[in-house]
Amino acid sequence: MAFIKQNQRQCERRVIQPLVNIHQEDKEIILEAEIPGLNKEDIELEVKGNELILRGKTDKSDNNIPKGYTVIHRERCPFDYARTFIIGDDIDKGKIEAKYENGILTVRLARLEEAQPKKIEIKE
Amino acid sequence: MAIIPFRQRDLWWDPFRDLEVIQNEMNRLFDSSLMAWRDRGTGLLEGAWSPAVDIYDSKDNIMVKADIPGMKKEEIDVSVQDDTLVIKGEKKQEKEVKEKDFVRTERFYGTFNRSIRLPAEVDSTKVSATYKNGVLEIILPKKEEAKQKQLKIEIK
Repeated sequence: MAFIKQNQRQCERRVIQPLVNIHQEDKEIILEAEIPGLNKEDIELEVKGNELILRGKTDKSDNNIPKGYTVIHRERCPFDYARTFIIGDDIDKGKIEAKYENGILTVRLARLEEAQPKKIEIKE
Repeated sequence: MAIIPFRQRDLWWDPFRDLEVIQNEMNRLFDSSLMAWRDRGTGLLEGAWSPAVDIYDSKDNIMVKADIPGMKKEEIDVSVQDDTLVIKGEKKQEKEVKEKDFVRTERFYGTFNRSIRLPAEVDSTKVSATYKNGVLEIILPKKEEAKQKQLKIEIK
């Protein structure tokens, strides 16, 4: 019973922060966020000043329960997702691309030409 | 703060009282920050990751939904044995990234295995599964016998 109670309490939260991986490459910074079960149209990505704001809305009609079914056990709460990231001056804000695939939102942030690492040749 | 309970002022300073306050504060801090992890089933104190699962029931079918973001459908293995449904697989990194290039890693990679005891007998030959937007949906049709077991009892 304690288990069920805990689940119910967890579902009371409406908005959670998605888990992310961020890594940098020479020409871009890549952010991957786990937001399973959303439609592409329900994901919002916005650049405001130096903030990158990610929002995702879960379909809450019928409390997200499939039609004709009753719940036996529930762990997947119909959460909304939201998380804000600060983007540095080295990012070209006009060159941000995003793709949603298999529940992962991948955002590619291109680095400005002058911010990209340059190899300097060492002379003898 | 209209009424503040009266407390006798200590004649002697008790260092352990301060420690207790700190301990309580630390507990509160850990409770609230680790809670966010627990919501996603990635319990730090629970060990390995396993996907969050919903189980639904209808007259003819049982439906199981699991959140497994970032997989390919070939990497997920679904099997039914008697009254147990097993979902397992290995979550791999899409692309090899050198550790030094990571700024942040919160996502889980590795093997997972989740067994679910089904609430009714199902026809294991007719089970179907789809994977879309990171959600695995399995529909398990009930056996005819299992359906007939749900007898309506007349109330006299």
